[in-house]
Amino acid sequence: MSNGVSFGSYVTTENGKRVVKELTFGNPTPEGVVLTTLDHAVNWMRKNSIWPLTFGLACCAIEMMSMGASRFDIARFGAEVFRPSPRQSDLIIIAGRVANKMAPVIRQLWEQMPEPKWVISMGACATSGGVFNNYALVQSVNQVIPVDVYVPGCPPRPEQLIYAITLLQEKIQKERGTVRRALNIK
Amino acid sequence: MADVNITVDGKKVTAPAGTLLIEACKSVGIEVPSFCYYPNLSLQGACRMCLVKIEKMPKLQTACTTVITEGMSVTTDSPEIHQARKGMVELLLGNHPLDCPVCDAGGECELQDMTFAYGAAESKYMEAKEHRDEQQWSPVVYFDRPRCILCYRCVRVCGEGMDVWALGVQNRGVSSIIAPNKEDHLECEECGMCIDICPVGALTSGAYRYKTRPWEMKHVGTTCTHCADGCKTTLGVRRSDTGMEIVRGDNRDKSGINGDFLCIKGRYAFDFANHEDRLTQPLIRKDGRLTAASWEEAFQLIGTEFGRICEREGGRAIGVVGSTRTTNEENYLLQKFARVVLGTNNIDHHRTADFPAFAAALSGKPEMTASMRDVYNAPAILLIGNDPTEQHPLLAWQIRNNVRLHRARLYVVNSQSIKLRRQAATFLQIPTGTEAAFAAFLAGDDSALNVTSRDQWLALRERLRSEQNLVVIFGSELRGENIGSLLKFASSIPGAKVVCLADYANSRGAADMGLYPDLLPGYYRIADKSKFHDEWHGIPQTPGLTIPEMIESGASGRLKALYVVGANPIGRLGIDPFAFSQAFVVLQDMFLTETAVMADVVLPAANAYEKSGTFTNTCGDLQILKKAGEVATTKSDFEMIVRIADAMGFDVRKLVPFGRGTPADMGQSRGAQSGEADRHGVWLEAHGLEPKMNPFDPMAILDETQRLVPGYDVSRMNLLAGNDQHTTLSKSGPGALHNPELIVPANNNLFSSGTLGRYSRTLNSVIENSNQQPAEVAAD
Amino acid sequence: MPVLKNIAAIAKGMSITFREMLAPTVVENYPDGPGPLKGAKVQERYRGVHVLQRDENGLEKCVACFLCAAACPSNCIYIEAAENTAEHRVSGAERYAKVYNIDYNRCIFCGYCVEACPTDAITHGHGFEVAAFSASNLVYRKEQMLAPMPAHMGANAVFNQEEVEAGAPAMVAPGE
Repeated sequence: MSNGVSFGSYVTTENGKRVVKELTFGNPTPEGVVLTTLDHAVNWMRKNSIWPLTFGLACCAIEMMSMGASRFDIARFGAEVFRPSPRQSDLIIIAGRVANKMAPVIRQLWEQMPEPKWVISMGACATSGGVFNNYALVQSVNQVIPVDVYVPGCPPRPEQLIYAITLLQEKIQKERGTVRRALNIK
Repeated sequence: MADVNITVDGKKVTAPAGTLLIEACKSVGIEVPSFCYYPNLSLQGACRMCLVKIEKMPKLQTACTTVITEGMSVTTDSPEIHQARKGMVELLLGNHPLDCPVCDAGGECELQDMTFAYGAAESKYMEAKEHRDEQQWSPVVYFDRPRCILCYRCVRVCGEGMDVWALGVQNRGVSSIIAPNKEDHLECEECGMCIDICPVGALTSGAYRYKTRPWEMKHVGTTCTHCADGCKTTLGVRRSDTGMEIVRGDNRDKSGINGDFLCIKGRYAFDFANHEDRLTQPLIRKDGRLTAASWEEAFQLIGTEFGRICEREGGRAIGVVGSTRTTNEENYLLQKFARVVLGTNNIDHHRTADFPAFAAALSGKPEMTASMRDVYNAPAILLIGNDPTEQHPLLAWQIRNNVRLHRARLYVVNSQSIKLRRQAATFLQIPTGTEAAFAAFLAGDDSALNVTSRDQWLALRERLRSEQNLVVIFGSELRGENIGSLLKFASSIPGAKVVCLADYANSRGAADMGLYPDLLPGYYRIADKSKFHDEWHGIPQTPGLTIPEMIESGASGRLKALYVVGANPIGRLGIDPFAFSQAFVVLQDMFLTETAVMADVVLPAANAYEKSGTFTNTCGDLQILKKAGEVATTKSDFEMIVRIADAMGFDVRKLVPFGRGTPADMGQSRGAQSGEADRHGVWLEAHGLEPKMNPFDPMAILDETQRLVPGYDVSRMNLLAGNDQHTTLSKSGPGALHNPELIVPANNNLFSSGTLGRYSRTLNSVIENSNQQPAEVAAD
Repeated sequence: MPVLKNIAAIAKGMSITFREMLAPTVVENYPDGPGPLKGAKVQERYRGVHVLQRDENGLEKCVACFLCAAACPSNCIYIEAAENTAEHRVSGAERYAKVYNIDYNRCIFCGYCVEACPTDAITHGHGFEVAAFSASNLVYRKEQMLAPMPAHMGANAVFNQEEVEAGAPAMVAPGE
């Protein structure tokens, strides 16, 4: 490893050892007090109103529906509003295996969603193909769209999905530069 | 022999008289289980698993010791037989520990299979099982006594098959134990046949011990890269951080020319691939030191330098040294590169046998080369020189077992009292260096008749003249005209065949592919007009430099560049490493050898276990290599040669005819599950339907060699399916009688194998264990 | 009397509403509930994240027999085995798992590995909070799944709590 191969800005040298830098979300450059506070407020609003798209692909969708019902009740997180149109939703949960024929459809739905938008890959099939290592399935939905949170399980329990949503909320809350991007300020 | 008719489970079976019942059943697909019976070993009748019911016999009989007789009526499965076999398994399990989860044989254990088949998993015995600690008998052989079921297969294969007799039985009855020959350890050839043949996990391999399980590996059948016999070896490979790691070598696929056999090198000496000194990055000499560089930088530098020298001085200022361990395709490509791209005939390799003289002696004669399988079936064998037990273990195995099983007559003529004399009908010890005189004597020249043993010489010649279908095997002691006189004698014997022994895995292939300054592939002389001149247009007509001439010319400054592929000429010839200090030296190798000391660019190469291609063994049997291991940061020699040609601005399409063939996949080979043999792919490939998509595909060169090199037009289907295909020399070019002094035998013994052996931990540990110094051998 | 009928209907409907208002809540309080499961209610048989068990001596039960990997329908278990030595003893048998990875991207929590295990080394725990931002974080290593070393181990239980508090090592790590 002494031949000077460059790994770009992701690797720094600390105490003579090469380490991978901790990756942060959003824009790492510091901003003013006003923008930061505003960011905080906007992020808080966003994280408490993540509206998922009504979109199920297979058995995982049953657990996703169950998450919306009374025992798990994601209304507690402001995420109960399953929207039938991608234009009105913030989150797409890939709940099930992704067939090769479904991949372009998923891509189109994701492209139709307005920014900011998030993706949860739910269950082993969506994340990696799971047991279905065959010609028919896309081996991981992240070959088609960028995924924010991966949820293992087959299918994952509703609690596991709720945990993923809390992770997503954390991610949204920690985002920086929200207002600047929303107002399109460079 | 007359045929005998019997009935097995209602099926009519006809087999030659003298056939064992168990074999007769097998021939019609009825399996009779057994532990102690093994084909071609003496009968034991120890395990009692093969009990069958024969009509009119009062008790159950063992199928492995019963010879079939006319009208015999046999039942191989009934409740009674099932119960008997279940009882046997239960008794065998009486002391056998049920540690299958940690046993190396778990998953390929015959006792496990039998227990599944006959269901004696629960035992009636309450007594505690007797435990003994595991013993290490040698660096590569471990013995776990409680697991042993006393089938005596190991004892028999070691004694009868290998003629080593290192294993034996102590005590008798229930107290019998298998024991090594030297109190607590083995002194033997370390071939590991006992481990392979053990039906349970009693004998385990030191190299593979506790590493993984059989079903976790992918098993790739390829050809061994050590000696020139070309055994088929099955390598078990697993994913690792750097690519694919070879974990185990064995011969579970017994279809190869070696049958049951594999020696220590084929079985254990694959570990040089993972040696810590293995080069993984290209190195370029900067300010006198070899420093790591990128592949692009290295190829750019080589391309510019070679191009500049070619332009200024012409190709004759560049020397090329080929290898005896690269594939036929790489050798062919290398000499094509030298002759077409560089425009020089300065190409040579480490010669360990005089194949041009062999070709010259055979040319114009009917087909007279013997394959490795012929050695096993010949009624008589004449062996002149060499010590096959040390240098050609498979050949020795074939000879031994031919003598043992087929009562072949073996005549050994040697200056040393080699071990094969024990099988010989006649052993004639001749003074050192008189092999050539003996060959002349056989051909009828009585002037060489030795005075002291005159009668023996004459008697042997008389006996040999009365033989038919004799196979004559000779070592590198015979060169030049002597081969001619031996061939003269051989052609006077009806059906005689000949084998010329070389030392490295692809020595024969390197010779066949024309790594000579004066010979083209197929032993066509460079000065004569041949089809290669039409194919390649404008190759130089004058013979080039041999390796000693290159050194001389390098020292005087006339040779400006040297391109060494997988060879170590400095280490071998013991010359001054600074002979080439003026020249630009490029080396492709796995390790920093003596030649690397003077190299300006060192490229990390893949070894023969890490690429596909073909090898030709010393008998001329063409076999396929399949890629098993991989070190991700190395490249095959084939790819490097093509990339250098590309960096020189040469149109690689003229070097490698890729892009031919028809895409006719039909979607069938793509869905194959990982690890399965892609038989459909083999079929497509064999029929030329799989396109050679890139210039790094050796199959594109195989197309050309099959088309142009005489004798290589063998069945592609058989070759790709992993079968050995004998290549003939009768249609090849005229060959040449030249420089017999350039032949330097490697003299590897059982535990050494040139550079590869030096970097094999297993071989070294065996050598250290036997307190021997590693033999100073010519490295390659 | 349609009005009365309407009122009755409303009353009937509202009675259900009021009755349900007084009934105990059915919503799970995850993730704000008490206990290690944070209020999630799972059955005892629930198959969560794997736990690699230790024997009564604190040694790993896993002997790297690869049967779990063989049984796994999704090929998500990766093992590298190594031999135990007297100086470095990790498991009770001849060999141990030098590397034991489960790829939770692929794992379908079917429990076949647990059924296949001859030494009861691998079990399903009740852990379910395994979602991650990056797929590579979902490949769990042996250290992440191994049951904690008991402070007082059967045959090696040489220290009592007082001694530990007085500075004796809490555990004897095998092979260290």
